[in-house]
Amino acid sequence: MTAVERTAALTGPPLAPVASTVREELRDRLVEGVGAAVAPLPADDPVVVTLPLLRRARARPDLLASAEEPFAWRPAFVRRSLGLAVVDACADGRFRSPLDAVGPVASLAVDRWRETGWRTFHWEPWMAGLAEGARAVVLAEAAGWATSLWSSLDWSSLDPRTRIGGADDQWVCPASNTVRLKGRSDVRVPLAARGPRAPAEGNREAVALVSLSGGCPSPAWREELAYLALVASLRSPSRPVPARVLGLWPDAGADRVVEVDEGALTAAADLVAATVTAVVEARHSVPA
Amino acid sequence: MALACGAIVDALFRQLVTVGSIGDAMTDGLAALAVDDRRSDLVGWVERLSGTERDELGAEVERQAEGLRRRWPALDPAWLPRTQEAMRVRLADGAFELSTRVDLAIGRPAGDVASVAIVEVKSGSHRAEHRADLHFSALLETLRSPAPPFVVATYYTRTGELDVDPVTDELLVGAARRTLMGSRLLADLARGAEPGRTAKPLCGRCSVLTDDVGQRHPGGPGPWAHGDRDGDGAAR
Repeated sequence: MTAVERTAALTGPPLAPVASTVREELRDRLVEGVGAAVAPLPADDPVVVTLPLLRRARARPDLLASAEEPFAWRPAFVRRSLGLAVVDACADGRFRSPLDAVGPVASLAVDRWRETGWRTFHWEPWMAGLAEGARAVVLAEAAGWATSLWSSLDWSSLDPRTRIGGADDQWVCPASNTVRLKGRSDVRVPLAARGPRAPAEGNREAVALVSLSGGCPSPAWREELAYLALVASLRSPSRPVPARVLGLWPDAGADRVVEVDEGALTAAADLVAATVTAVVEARHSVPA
Repeated sequence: MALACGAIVDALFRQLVTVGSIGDAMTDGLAALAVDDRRSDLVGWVERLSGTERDELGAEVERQAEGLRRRWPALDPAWLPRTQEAMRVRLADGAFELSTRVDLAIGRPAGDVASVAIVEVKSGSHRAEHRADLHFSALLETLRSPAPPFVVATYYTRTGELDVDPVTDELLVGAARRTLMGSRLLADLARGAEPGRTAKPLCGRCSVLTDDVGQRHPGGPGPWAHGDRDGDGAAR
């Protein structure tokens, strides 16, 4: 599929919107199911559900109980945030290509932090302290990531309100403060209301989400992509449920699209419940 | 020593493509390896070298870096150059995954036009296996993208030679056969078959091999002859 074809598939007219009653039912189901699953956990032992966790629970359940390594900045942790800023700069027309943009965008962020102390990306102090060779690795990683996203879509045909990056969608399960769902979409594209099948709720337009991942699509790619729409819809009940999610796996040259309907959201909610249950069981299996 | 040289030169090549310059070659190269998850162990190894060995490594790295500075052209960013690009293809319902990582890919993957070029950088001497390895990369790009790459090339930083190989149907068929053969061997090993020992010039300093084939390989082909990381491309 070419970038133009992929973009056309992404921005096509949405299916009929998911009814608000469906969203409420799903929410209640998650609160009940997930709440019961984490009941044995102490309040200070939170479960943060993310797309990587959903994937790890299927591919490497043996790692679910492993203690997380202490955080330390690495090029791979900067890749996405700097890469998104680079794509944003290119989409704005400030630069011709990711390789043109990556150096100036990174330098601007570091300079702003030096002048004001404000961290747009959080990695600025770390980046500022890197030697030239290490800085080049960070820039190369980000440029590669950005190039994958940049060359996957026809940016000139996207709605100008398209949002590149932005804050993660988050939803805290109200039954238990130990479960938080986080959804990280790389691009949010407004879908223009067209025809009689697009009566957006509350006069708001539906959006399509884009998510870029490493590796290959897993057998559960549908549920994983729908998870991003599920979290977005739980987070913002007044907004329409995202109409579709496009997944990109540049390493594999693969893309997949999920049209978000009741079935897709239900499957995603089931995956969340199964993953939380697996995490709780894994933590219980570790001797205190 | 040769592996360390290859890893550092790879990092310097990446730096040159990305930022357009290389400063002090050893300093930049080691700084790059120190933040690279796949290479950070190598930094400790280099730091434990004796002064003489480290000087020797530094001299060779600087020699090759100078060659890169003088000979490697600046790439137009519009060609979308990307370094250390990972390629993965799953086959047989995921039972097999073919994967590799190429030093440089140029060009936007297009629908029906071969528009991507792949370059591997080698700090060691020319070997026939380099072409075969590149053909594997060409095969993966073909399997994952709408069109095959139009060319693959190996760049030898010691000499500045660029060994260019246009991608043809025959090249891809040959790569597919080699991959199939290797995959069968790996599958046999996974089923418990005994690994066979095969004489290869790459094993020039292997004493076991020397015993098996009845040849001596005194000293092997020299410390800088194979200065590239092998095994990046693999069927898993």
